Amino acid sequence: MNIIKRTESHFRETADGMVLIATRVAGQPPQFPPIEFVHNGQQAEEIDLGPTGSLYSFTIVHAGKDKPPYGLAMVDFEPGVRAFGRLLFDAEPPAIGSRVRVVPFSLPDGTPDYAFQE
Amino acid sequence: MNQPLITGVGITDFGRFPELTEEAMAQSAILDALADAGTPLSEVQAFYCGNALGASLPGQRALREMHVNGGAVYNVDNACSSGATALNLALQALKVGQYETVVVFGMDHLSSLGGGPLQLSQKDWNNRRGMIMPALYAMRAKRYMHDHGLKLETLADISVKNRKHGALNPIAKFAKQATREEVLASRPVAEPLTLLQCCPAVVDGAAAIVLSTRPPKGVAKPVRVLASVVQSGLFETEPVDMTEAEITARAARLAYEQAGIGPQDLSLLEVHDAFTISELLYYEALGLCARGDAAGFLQSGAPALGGRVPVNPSGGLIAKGHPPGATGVAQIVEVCEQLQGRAGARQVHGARIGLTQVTGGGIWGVDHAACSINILSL
Repeated sequence: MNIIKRTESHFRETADGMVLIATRVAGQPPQFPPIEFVHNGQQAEEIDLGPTGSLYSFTIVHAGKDKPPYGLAMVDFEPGVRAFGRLLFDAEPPAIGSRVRVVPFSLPDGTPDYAFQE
Repeated sequence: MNQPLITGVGITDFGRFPELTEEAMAQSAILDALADAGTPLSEVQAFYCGNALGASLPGQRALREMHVNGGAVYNVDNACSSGATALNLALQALKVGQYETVVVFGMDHLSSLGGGPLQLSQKDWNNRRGMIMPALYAMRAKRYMHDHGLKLETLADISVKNRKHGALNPIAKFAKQATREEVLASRPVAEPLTLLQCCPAVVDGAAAIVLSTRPPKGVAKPVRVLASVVQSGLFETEPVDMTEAEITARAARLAYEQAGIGPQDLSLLEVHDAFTISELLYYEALGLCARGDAAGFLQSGAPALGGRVPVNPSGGLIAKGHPPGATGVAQIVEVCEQLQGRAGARQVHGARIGLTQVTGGGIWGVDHAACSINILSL
């Protein structure tokens, strides 16, 4: 058995803004989230996604009376990778096709993460 | 190769029965199916159990107090496709002669789980970020509206149609009719989907069928399985068209080829209308209409009872409910009863060939993880 668990972050700050990090292993298309485990010395090439992408679709989830609604989105990035994540907005969500940025966010347990915002 | 027939069917009421268990409901469905087939329990050589949300060993738990003879019990979990996948496996064993008579059953008891949307694994990347099943379909609906000009009223009309069908189905205890206005005014779940556009979160039920290669001795004509297909979702990381139900289209192509028929030959369908948008997407994926024409197909009246090819005459998941392990088998029961002319007030007159379609989802990167399609005829 030769399994390596990758521990690299799935996002980073750049001079142009926050980007997501996809991976590509030989013979496979790039993927986000990045591959977590590689086998037999496989190399995972990192690819920056962003800092902006195109909003493919979204929804506003109404989870219940005592919970605030939240946005979810599918966002398409060059070079042909779709990423899923929270969609942040003020009064109105952006329209399908809008450019959205990768922005900092946190998972419910406080772990640093990402979201999308116009 | 042996040709298995469906010789008996059984189904429980679908509703909220917190005082019951999935095991008790499965026993009821199995006993009804055996009686319908005229087959004693002792003749059953193997059991195939579809169950998505119960604990381990669901089949053995359900069968224990029936004192079965110790033959094989196969437990199948393929999410909402569990029951239909169990049927596919049973057919393989019967065709090669491993068994002569088996029972396929499906069950789930959502009353035990506390309500709300189906709980998805929080180990999953998307689910940790707030994904729930209605949200995935809501995003499909949003995009379909953007691409094809679909109106909110058309989405609502799927719910109105299926609820009207469900009101005619005596086992659909949770079914309530609703107007387009009531559907649209119900509380939002994941925009644009409202509560009455989603299958109810808490419905319990079980269904069973007897399959045999022996001469039939049941009360109704036996039903042939012209095609049985199980497919799995592709891992898609690139921008794909979420308004195309790719796995269903792929499974349908295989099923039509296996059966030697086309969509124009179908008399009725039971499809996986977990959400209103789902049924519209499946009209297209199953070849009932062209891509982008689902709204026109619905508005033509074709998929309503009395129309050219009724879809979900049972009420579907939206009106009847969706205990995931049971749904695939329940669809088979409905189509059998329709073909046999014993569907009562919801009878599709002259029904000759019926199709069932059920998917299964809930993991990132694979929008539909499983899809099962069966085509049945007398």
